[in-house]
Amino acid sequence: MIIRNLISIGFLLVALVSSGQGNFSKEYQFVQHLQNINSYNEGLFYIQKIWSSYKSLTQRDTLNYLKGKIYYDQHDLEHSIESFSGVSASSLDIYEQSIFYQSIQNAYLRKFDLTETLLKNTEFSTSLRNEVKVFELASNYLLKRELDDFDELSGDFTFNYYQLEDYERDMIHLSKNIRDHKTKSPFVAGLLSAVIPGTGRYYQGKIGQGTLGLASNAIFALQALEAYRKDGVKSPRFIIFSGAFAVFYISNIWGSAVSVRINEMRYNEDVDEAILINMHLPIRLLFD
Amino acid sequence: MKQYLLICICLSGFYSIKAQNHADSLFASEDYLNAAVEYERLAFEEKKDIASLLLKKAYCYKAIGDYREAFRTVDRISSVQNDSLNEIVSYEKVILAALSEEWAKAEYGLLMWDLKIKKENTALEQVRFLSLISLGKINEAKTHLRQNFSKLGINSVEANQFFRKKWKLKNPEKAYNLSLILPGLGQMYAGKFWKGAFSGTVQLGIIGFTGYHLYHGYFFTGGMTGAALFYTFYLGGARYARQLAEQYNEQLKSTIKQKFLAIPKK
Repeated sequence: MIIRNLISIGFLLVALVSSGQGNFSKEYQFVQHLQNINSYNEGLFYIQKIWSSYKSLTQRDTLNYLKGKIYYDQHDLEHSIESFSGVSASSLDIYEQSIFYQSIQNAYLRKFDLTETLLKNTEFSTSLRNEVKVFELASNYLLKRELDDFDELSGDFTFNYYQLEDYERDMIHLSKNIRDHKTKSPFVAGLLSAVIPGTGRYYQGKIGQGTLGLASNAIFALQALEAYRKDGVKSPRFIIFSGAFAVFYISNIWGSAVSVRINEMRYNEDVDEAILINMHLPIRLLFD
Repeated sequence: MKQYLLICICLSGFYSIKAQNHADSLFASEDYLNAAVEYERLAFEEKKDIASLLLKKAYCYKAIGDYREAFRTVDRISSVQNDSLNEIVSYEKVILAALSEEWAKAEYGLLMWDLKIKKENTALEQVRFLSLISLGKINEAKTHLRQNFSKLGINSVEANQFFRKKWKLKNPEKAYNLSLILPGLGQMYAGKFWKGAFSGTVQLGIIGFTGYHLYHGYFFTGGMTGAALFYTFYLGGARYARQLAEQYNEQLKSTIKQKFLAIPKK
């Protein structure tokens, strides 16, 4: 993969030098150097500075590509996408890379439709890149939870490329995980907690939280009972503790119902994070 | 504080840049970011005088007050053959680390200075004192001040009178443990007497509440509400005492540094 990148850079440099653009190849290498030493602001400043000196389409494509990469390293996704989108299709290699960088960053920004459009509208020059395209498109469907579309596309995974093979298997594993995931009902959780406080959390597999809910309700109930027996129903002590019990009891029911939603949200966030990392790594490995 | 430090010790350290190339001209015309990039380009393309070019680049960032970037640049200089340049680079590594408030790196720079350059320098001795204070080494700072007052540019009377007896750092873990032994004591140790007294009184009140209810046969109320409240306030109070001790230390370090910088230097 490193060799592939070096060949790619080599081709670019040879092309630049052979077309009488030796100075530009120096500029290219210098901006890459600034990027390598994490001097991103200097890189952007320098590109801005030399922008008007290099007006050919290839040069502007290269400068846009470099800008996109610097913004990408700075995690400035919007500017990175904007810069990558300035690379024209005539600069085949960096154009294709730019499409992949745009698509993954759009996925991170949850602009899944843009990711899909970009990938679908591009036919890549190598079979590996086309396999990456299929993989990214399928993963994008998984992010949208369109499982049937994922299944259809993942059927085209060849597992023939070592750069992708593991990620393809992981993505299929993730899709099975999503399919097997059972969504809990907030109503059932609330109802269970109303019958026996804390059991709504047990239903969600939260044993510790359930026990804590059960214990706190029991503590207030016992204190209210104690006050009732010793001081009667009209005593301030009974009113305070029975009031506290009522607050805890109702809060527990409400909390059990809400926590189902929160857990579901967290599950989706974790799965999305895993999908995005799996989508991102092959692009980094191939083009960084 | 940072500006003060700069005025006191750093302005004397600027390397004179004679206009030998386009980058120098940009520096002279105070176009510092442009100059910084030009110095980097020269270092990258010509592959010679790299130390000198990176030092000049660091001065660009120093001039615009971006001390972290200046330090990052000068820290990239690994070997310098020229002795006088090596001295300037070593000096700047310490000064820029201090201006970036990277005190551990400043201390490392001083160690390198002592090992390689072995020269007296008033500004660096002042940074050494500030580093020791910032890293919480108050006793070492005290010894350094008393033994090296002339190197620090101050007279012996001021050096001997500088440290107050009450300038002692508090141990945050000690504050925590003291509050566990006797609620409120840790806050008092951290210098907040009334906060400690209040915390102690509240927890005494909770104990009273618990005891009263248990005595009158309210076993659930005393045993559960009383114990839960006491447990919460007891641990919370101890954690707060630790936090107060940490705040006290930061405040004390800042006070000592400001008083030190305010002493007129020779």
